[in-house]
Amino acid sequence: MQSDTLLQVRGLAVEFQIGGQWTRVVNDAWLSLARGETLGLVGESGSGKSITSMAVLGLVSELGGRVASGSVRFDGEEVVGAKQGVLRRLRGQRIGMIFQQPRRSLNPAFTVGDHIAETIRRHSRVSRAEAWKRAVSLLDRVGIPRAAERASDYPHLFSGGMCQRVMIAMAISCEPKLLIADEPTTALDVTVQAKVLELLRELVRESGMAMLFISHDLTVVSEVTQRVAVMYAGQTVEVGTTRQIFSQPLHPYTKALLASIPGAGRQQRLKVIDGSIPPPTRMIPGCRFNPRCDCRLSDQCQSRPVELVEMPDERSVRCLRADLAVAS
Amino acid sequence: MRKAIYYAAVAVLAVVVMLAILAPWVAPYDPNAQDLLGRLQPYSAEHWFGTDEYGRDQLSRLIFGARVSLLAAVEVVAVSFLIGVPAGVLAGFFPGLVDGALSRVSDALMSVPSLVLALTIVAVLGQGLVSAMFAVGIVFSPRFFRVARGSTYEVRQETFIEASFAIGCSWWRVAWRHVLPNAMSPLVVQMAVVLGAAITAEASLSFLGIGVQPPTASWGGMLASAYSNLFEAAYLIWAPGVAIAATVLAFTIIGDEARVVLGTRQPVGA
Repeated sequence: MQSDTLLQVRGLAVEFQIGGQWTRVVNDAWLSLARGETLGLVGESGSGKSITSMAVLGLVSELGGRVASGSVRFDGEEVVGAKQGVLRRLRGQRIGMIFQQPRRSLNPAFTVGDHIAETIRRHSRVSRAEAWKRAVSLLDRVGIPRAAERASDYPHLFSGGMCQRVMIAMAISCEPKLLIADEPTTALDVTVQAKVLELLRELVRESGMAMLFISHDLTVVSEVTQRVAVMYAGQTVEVGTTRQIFSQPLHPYTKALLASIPGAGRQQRLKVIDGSIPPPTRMIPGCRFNPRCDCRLSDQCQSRPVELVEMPDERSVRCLRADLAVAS
Repeated sequence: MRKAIYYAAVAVLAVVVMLAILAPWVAPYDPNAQDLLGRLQPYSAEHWFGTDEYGRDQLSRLIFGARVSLLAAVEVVAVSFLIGVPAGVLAGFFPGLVDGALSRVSDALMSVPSLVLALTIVAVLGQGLVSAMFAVGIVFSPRFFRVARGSTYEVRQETFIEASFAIGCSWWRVAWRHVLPNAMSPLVVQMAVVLGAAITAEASLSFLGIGVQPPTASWGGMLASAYSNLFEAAYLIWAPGVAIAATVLAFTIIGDEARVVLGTRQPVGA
């Protein structure tokens, strides 16, 4: 069981300096990901999804933040506090990452082939020519037509979807065990989005790598993931299989999220969650969702922090009233 | 109109560079050959720009002086670029302590009048063109520092920098391979401007007698000797004066055009 676990994030807290004060942006994040599994990480903007993924790569300090507590174990090794050399071997080689804005994630001064060849040459001793050859075959693999020619084109000649394919080629160039996809399709239009998702699913199936799929688009998440973790205000609030989360959500926030998915042909007004996510500079005591929750208890929910607790069927939830949901 | 001025500037510079390279072949006389009987001659068919106080041919000295000026300017740019750019990239890359320290040094350097600092450094390093220009290079390095720092800071925010960390690049590799190429265009503009300023600086130092040592010909030195004979042969001041002005102007115009053509770096994508 233990060796099946590829990634385990426990009680992670990350701080950034906001107005001179170290402020917790991620407070109590828990994730675990088995080999070959695709986990969806969902939540609103600012809920700490991306920061959590950066912590997995050990990139928090590069972004000017620090890990305050908690642990991130990847493939049996601790990432928090690991040496730079160890982290550099992790990044790109064992963990690949793709970003939200593909066109901004490519360096305009290099050809797309250079990008991929650089990643390969960072992590394995191969000649320039060999790296280029591999880059071309990777571009071909991710569905770029005339890959050999296009490898020497610059990113501005590519559309957003094509840039994302290039990013994917970069990310999988060293056959990583984990692919982190940080809102990979948010900046793309719907048809392109579907194609990129299909490509990702195909790659995951073929290579057996695990994928951490970060998104706020629940429809997309339901299509590609096996398990889902929901984050709210820097905390993991619910974890379960995709089926469990979508058919029987336990946390009121998850329920509210699901209720606010727009459906085609639906005539009634779209449900929204009243209020907004509290800013990290002004954290509320007690359950962080309580001001927006319609089943809060006036004292317990507002007085002390709520822990993430294990529930039957290998799921967990951070809610004192989860029993309500189970009963119904 | 702007283009026409630009082409004129390129033409002027091309002529100066060609003359400097081909000096031994195109100069009509040996620049150091004295003719004490033909001192301070006015313009003539034999001596287009006249002769100086030792009867040396002004045109030949002007042509050889171009070599000195251009080499000096290149040295200044090389020194200030090599000091300023790495420091600037470092400062832009690590805001906070590193940036604070380097910026204070740069501010201090900028607050000192450049020629005075150059004079001091020459006093320490000894006279001569190479050390004088090295000094000017140090004085000019904050110009590159500031530009490099600014554009590094800007490029640093881009997602592709995050992405290059995510593929396992070390910070210096990110700085060198990913930040610098994207921060280059304002630096190119700055180079042209500094080349012009360096020519003025060389002329000033040579005019004061701490740059090029006689008998080597230089524009500043020619200006100095013309100045000391101003009452007998005022016409001698024109050739070096116009040469300096035209070359500096040409560099400035080319720098300006480069700024327009390269533009501010447009981020790609949405």
